[in-house]
Amino acid sequence: MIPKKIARARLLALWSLSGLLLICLMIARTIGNKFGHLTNDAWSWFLPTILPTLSLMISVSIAQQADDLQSSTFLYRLAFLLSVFYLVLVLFTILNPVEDQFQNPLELMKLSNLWLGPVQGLVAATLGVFFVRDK
Amino acid sequence: MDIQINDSTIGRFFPFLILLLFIVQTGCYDNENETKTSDEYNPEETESQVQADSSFMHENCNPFPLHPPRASAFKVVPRNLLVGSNDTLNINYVLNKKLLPALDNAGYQYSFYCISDSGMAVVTQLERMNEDGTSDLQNRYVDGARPDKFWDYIKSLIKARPGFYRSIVFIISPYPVIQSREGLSRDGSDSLYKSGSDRPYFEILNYTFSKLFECTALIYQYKKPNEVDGVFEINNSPMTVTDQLTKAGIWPGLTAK
Repeated sequence: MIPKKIARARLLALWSLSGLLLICLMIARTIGNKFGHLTNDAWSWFLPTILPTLSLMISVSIAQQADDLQSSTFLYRLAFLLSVFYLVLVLFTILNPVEDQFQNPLELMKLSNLWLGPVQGLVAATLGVFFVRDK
Repeated sequence: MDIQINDSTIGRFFPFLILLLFIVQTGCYDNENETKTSDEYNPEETESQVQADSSFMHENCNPFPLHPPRASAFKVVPRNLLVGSNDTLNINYVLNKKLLPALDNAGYQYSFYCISDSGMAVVTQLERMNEDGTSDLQNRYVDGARPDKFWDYIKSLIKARPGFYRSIVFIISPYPVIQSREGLSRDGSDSLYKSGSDRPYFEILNYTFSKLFECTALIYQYKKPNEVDGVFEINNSPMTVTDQLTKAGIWPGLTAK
């Protein structure tokens, strides 16, 4: 078992720092004119990939600050690893190191919904259980 | 020792003599025939044949538009670079001693067009260039090449790599070059080079590069701002033709003696 407060703080730190990094990357690529006339489409794809989860975590963390609950280590590790995996996938899609294979970055972004959607569902489910459960 | 030739000797060798005469006769006939029907290239003969047939050139002429598409920049190449003060030199000299060697030294590929019956256009292959006007020698005819250095690669993930392209047309003509209002797309520029002929029209080469003739350089420039947006033609180049030809390595070739 792991103190829920610590586990929650670590997960929140992971998501906050990663989210900040991803937002900075998106801003840099937008300023660097990587998306051209498809900038709006790129941001429309990006925002739903991290904001809902990050918003949920922040709001629950603020609402449940003072508790001494314990949480399952397995559940914590699962949530952490799935989060890392998901965030790496998002980072890969934004940086698009295989851009030569696509006509534009939006193509990979649209294509990535095929795998990001299910993984995001798993991450959200795990984090939801972890953050909401009281035991 | 006396050699006696009698009737019986002649009679014995007579068929051989006849055969020998026949062979010699046939050989001479074939040689004569070969001389007449030889396929070997004889420039003087071909030239005279072509001059005799005035329709030859028009049939084989790949005409350049009379009003060339609007260029990003253009300039008449000074005569003194091409022929000095000599008015007796012909277009052959201007082309084969000045222009083409300069293009070859700068690593350009080119094709030819004729203009009416006395002018000629040399079109270079569309090349990738750097923003400063120098030729991008590594990726000159390759699109979308990745940067070699690691740091450049990382930078390319964040910042768009705009592509600059250029095609140069040299028009040698006694007629003034009046450009059309229409521009030329990058694909159009590419196909202009590819549709040209592989060699100049030698009938035109014999014309004297008199004071009526001028060599005009037209530069068609394009920019692809990033990997997403399309290519657009630069209407007014920020660089002069002289600057571009210098940085492309053509001008030094023209000025070389």
